[in-house]
Amino acid sequence: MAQVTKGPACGIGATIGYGAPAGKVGRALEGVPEDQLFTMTLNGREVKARKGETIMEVCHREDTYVPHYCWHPSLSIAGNCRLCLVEVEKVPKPIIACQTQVSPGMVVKSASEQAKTAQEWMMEFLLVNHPLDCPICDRGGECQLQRYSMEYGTSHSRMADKKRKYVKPQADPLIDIERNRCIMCTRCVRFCDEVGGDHVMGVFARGNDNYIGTFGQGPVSNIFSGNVIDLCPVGCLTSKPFRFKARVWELTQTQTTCTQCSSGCKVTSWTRNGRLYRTTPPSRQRHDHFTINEDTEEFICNQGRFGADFSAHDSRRGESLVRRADRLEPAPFGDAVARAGKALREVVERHGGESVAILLSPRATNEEGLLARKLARDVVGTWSVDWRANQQSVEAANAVSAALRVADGDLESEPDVVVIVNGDIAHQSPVLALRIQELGRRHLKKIVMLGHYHDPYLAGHAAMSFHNAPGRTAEILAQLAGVLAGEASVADLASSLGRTEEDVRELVDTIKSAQSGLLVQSLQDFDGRYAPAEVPAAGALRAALGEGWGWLPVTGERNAVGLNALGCEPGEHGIGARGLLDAIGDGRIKAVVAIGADAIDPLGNEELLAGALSNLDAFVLADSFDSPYSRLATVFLGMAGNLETDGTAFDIEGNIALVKAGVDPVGDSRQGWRILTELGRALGRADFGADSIEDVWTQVRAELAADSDATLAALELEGGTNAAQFVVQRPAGGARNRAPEHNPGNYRTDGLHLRSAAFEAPKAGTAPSSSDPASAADGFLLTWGPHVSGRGYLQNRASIAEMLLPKPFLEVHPADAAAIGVKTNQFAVLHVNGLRTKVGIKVGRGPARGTVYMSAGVYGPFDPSSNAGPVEVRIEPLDELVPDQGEALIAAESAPESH
Amino acid sequence: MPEVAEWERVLLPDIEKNETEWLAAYLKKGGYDVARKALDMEPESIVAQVKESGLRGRGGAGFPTGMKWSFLPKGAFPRYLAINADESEPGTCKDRPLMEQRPHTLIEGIICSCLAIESETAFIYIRGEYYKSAKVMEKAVAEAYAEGFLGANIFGREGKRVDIVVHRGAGAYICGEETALLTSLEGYRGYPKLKPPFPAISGLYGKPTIINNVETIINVPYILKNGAEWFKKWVHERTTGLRLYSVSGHVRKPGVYELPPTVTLKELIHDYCGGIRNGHDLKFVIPGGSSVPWLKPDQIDIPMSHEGVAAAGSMLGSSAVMVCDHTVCPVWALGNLSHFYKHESCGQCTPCREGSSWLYKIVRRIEAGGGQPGDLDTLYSLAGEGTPGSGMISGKSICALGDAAAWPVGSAIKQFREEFEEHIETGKCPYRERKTSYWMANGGFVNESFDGMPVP
Ligand SMILES: Cc1cc2nc3c(=O)[nH]c(=O)nc-3n(C[C@H](O)[C@H](O)[C@H](O)COP(=O)(O)O)c2cc1C
Ligand code: SF4
Ligand code: SF4
Ligand code: SF4
Ligand code: SF4
Ligand code: FES
Repeated sequence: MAQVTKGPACGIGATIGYGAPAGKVGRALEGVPEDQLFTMTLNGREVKARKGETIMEVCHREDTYVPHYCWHPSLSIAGNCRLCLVEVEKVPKPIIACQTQVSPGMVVKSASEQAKTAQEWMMEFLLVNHPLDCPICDRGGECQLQRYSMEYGTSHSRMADKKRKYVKPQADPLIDIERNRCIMCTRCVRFCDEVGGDHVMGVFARGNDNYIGTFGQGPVSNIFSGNVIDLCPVGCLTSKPFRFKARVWELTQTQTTCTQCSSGCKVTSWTRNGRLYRTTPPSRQRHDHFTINEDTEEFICNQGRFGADFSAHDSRRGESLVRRADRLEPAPFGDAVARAGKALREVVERHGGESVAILLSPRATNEEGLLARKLARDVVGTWSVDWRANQQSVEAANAVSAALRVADGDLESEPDVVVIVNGDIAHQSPVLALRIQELGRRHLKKIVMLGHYHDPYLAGHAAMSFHNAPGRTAEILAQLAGVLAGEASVADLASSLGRTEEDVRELVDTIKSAQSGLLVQSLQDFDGRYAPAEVPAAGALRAALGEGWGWLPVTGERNAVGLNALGCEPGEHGIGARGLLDAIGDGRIKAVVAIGADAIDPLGNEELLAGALSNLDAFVLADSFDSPYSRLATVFLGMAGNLETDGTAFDIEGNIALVKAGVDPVGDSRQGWRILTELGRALGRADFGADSIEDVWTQVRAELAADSDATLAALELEGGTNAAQFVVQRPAGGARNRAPEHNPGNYRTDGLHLRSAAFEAPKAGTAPSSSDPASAADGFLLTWGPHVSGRGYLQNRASIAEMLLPKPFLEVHPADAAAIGVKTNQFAVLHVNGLRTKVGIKVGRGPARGTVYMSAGVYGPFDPSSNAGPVEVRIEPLDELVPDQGEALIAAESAPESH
Repeated sequence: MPEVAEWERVLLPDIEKNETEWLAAYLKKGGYDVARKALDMEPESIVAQVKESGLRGRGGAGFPTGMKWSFLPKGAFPRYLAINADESEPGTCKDRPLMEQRPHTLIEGIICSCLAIESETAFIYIRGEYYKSAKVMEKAVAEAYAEGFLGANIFGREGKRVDIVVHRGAGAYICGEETALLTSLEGYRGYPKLKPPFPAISGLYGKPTIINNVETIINVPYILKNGAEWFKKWVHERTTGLRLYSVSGHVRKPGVYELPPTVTLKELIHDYCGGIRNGHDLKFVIPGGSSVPWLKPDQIDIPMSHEGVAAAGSMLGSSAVMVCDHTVCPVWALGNLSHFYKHESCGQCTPCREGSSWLYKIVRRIEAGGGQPGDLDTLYSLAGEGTPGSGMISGKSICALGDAAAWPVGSAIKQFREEFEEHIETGKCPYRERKTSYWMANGGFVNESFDGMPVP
């Protein structure tokens, strides 16, 4: 029987509440028990199928294409377009392939006369009211209606009457809605209900007058909303930023990965004349061309889709600058790099190599990371190289490094149970959260939430949730580990969690009975206060969980895993990003090389940073933009932007993927790896670096996967599928921390510790003891999480940055909200350590009681870095409501003009 | 004129008094005795009696009720009973008097049925426009609760529970389709669900659910009281029991008639309903609710049973008989029906959403004088012969509304092809020309716009 899940509280009911959750489609049958398999006939061929599969799923596996609009492998089954009607022997009428389950001996004919006629009829129906305004339709060239008309339709129309017309709504700033073209497949509605999670789209009116829209006529608010553009088979939902800019067939496609967060999504960059037009999920080959797969399951977030054009910002600088007296003057790249080398050499000669720090942007490629580390250790002779400016303290940064080094889990293995500890993962690494959600929703795996903040996006899919007060997570994790090891009692854990023993026993049983599991831990834990204690605790829990489990620490930084694995960290001896300002202050650091200004930008506000940087003897900045930092540089080296860079990077799960330039570097700028090579050579090492990206990759490969001989080309998305994707094992134990030498002869050749090596928990660092959580009576404890759109330096430069930034909201637990008398969408004054600001309230179950949560980067004045330590918060309700964003955006409500 | 037999009547005598039978009056007649008796019966034996009686659903499809009940999966609880009181099919008007005048009989029927299918909760889904019906049912349900006939431990019987929820629809015909009724009850948009799974397996809130029409359920206590054999006194082939025929249109005495299935359509029209109104001739009859094929005057000497009507090429459906005299333009009448279906299509699936409105546009255009050669071929290919599965809509849609929209078209053209052709050839409607149309006499075509149908 079809699996029945309870649907959400709105949307379109029948299809949403009761579609069977589509399992992974067209799955191979290996490993399926024999008693679940049977044979059937598909288009005259005997094929194997599995109990419970639909005809469509079997067709997918067997490479038999059945036309479909409403069916999508990630969404519930709607069965409304009727395009997948096929003939089944012994059934008098054609039946839909997407919902009909196969049975032993079934004889399916997907292209018989009966099936083809039915499909042709459905195509004729869909064109009855379709405007066919292809010449002005942005979907032209990648339209499923065009395609099916050719493949399954007829060339003429018998429709002689007036077509239906709708008024055009202005509901969303990013997604254009042209209802006349809609075929009512409800993919968009189901996406928002099931994947986006905001239930904001719906079907309105009835019969032939029906149309899709948003409730309250507001925007499609979820961070994945852009995917409805790709899901829409026709030109009803198109991208506003891309609208009328280009025809898709005129654009050059580059298969690359998004550089904006640790999900590391594969994307296609669509460019022309050096300009990025749009970013989409990877395009795939169909016949003789590449196009976005209508069934793509590779969803990307709005930040990646709409916010990747920051390299084209007005502040973009292609040429290099050199300081002469008090002025920065443009200089050819070669001159500038020579000058930088000279300045650094002087500092090294005068103060020693240790007085130089090299900082990397966390989105640096592996190739940039490797060269930066070698530059520091082997050429300059300093321990001080770091990528972790985003971590909020030295201790937090070290905890993050320790965790990343021993991480051994990923989602690919589809664990039975996912235990999530803390974090707004959906806003730190959106697609990672989306994939965790899919595990719960589609694959019916159990999600368990622990900690003091529960991701609201994932909470709806959680089988169990256990909140604790901030600062007590480590203790809870330790207790849980104790219970699992039989050393602590369920009763004690229950009393710590404030829950019944029965609840906690269920938690423990769920974990114990799991064949496989994954411990997901958010490391960007607010102000970085908790990570030092929580990482070792999670490590101990990981050890107690034993076989079949993995640990996936999550941070949002793009290449955290790669830069950590390559040892781009100062270890115990050097000065890290978080210690940099102090070290400049007391004179230990005299020169800084920053590869990307976002390598230093998060360290403090502009004023603070400017003050520190101006005390340096040399400040070499390689970056793509004019900024307050570029103006302070001794030498500014024009660096290629995100779309102009080649290399590789890891996602948070440890998969490597290609980052590929889609356009040439602007002006005289150079790719990061080349800048580092040239810097090394300018510092006197003629043999430093490499002359091609392939050569640098070979060096990276030698360090990370000595056995592999994969070339960069092998990493390329072959024929549209990333056939050569391989997981590079992370080295354990901080292997990259070889002592630095000034101008040594040879490079390091440490052995590799593979992930399969015995798991060794990280040792507790010098974690500050966590203070007791505040209770509501004493005011609240404020916690933060980073937001993928709120990271500042780069994201602010996207052309539609403001649209991507979420509405600032302070999230309050329902019980606390009741106690202080605030409601969702009500304004309140937030008092934080003497500062005041007006915020909108969102009542939600994310934070534990006594805690309030907001996204960092969304609130300027409360930047976590300027508020280290517990923050006392008071909330003063105001008698004012947050205006509905929709109202302002709506020109006219859409209703059918004629019926 | 043949002798009109005085049939024993079960439901109608009380209804004809046209007043609500509240609890006290009902109890005086021995009300709820059957429900008490049913408490002592094994559920299987209630189901067996209903099966034995041959009771068939009165909502339209005529599915054997006892058999439907026995499809419930063993051991799966909770189960729900949903009473379909959405009566919105044009011409059907029998559930309303039952609810408004015999609410306690219906409640007793629900209790008996719940005991039979081991359900503790029943929902009555009442058509939105039936405001009074809902009010009466609500009051009667409250009375029954107050007496302990509903709720926990009904009739003082430990552990037996029946709850009734009265729910009003919001004015959508499609919510009478059983699965749409369920999605609507759940609080969603009233979209029919894909089948399988059928509601008996996975219905309301994903639980096994039985959906029955008001008239179906109200018969249950009578069957339990008098026995299956009594019910089978009135029989034509596999159609048993008295049933309510809603007769409307151009007869002298339209109304709801309770008759056995052996009564012929001719008797119904001419003997019971007093024949066609003054001096007019019968043109055609729609014998079973708006979606069924039309019958011409020479086809009406048929028993009004499922089998009898089917033999004449139509369907008994909800036994709503619509009678049209010679003033009715068949093209106009078809336009009226097509408008209804295009208006009531939920819009979920392609063939019905697009097909029902396309059909309407063509028919309405022909009627307005804009017919083109080839229109009839297009109509035929869209709607088929008026038989299940033929044409581009029927059998391809999610629910039976698609079929319902298509069927009348094929049959109307088949029956009145020359008139359709005359409209197309002359570019006008002869009925309007002759000003003989019934509708003309009643104010003509009020709304001439392309979009609305005339309001008589
Ligand atoms: C479009 C459509 C509308 C329907 N409307 C009604 C209705 O108003 N009342 C009703 O009892 N059955 C209606 N039905 C039939 C129901 O789907 C269902 O068959 C019936 O309620 C079952 O009850 P029964 O077995 O007692 O007849 C409708 C069916 C369709 C396809
Ligand atoms: S949706 Fe497709 S068929 Fe329709 S106008 Fe656009 S390109 Fe043409
Ligand atoms: S807008 Fe596009 S995706 Fe949404 S229902 Fe219409 S055609 Fe389908
Ligand atoms: S989730 Fe991260 S990597 Fe993926 S598209 Fe969004 S920002 Fe880019
Ligand atoms: S057949 Fe008509 S009423 Fe039924 S689901 Fe399809 S569109 Fe809705
Ligand atoms: S794909 Fe099967 S009905 Fe739409």
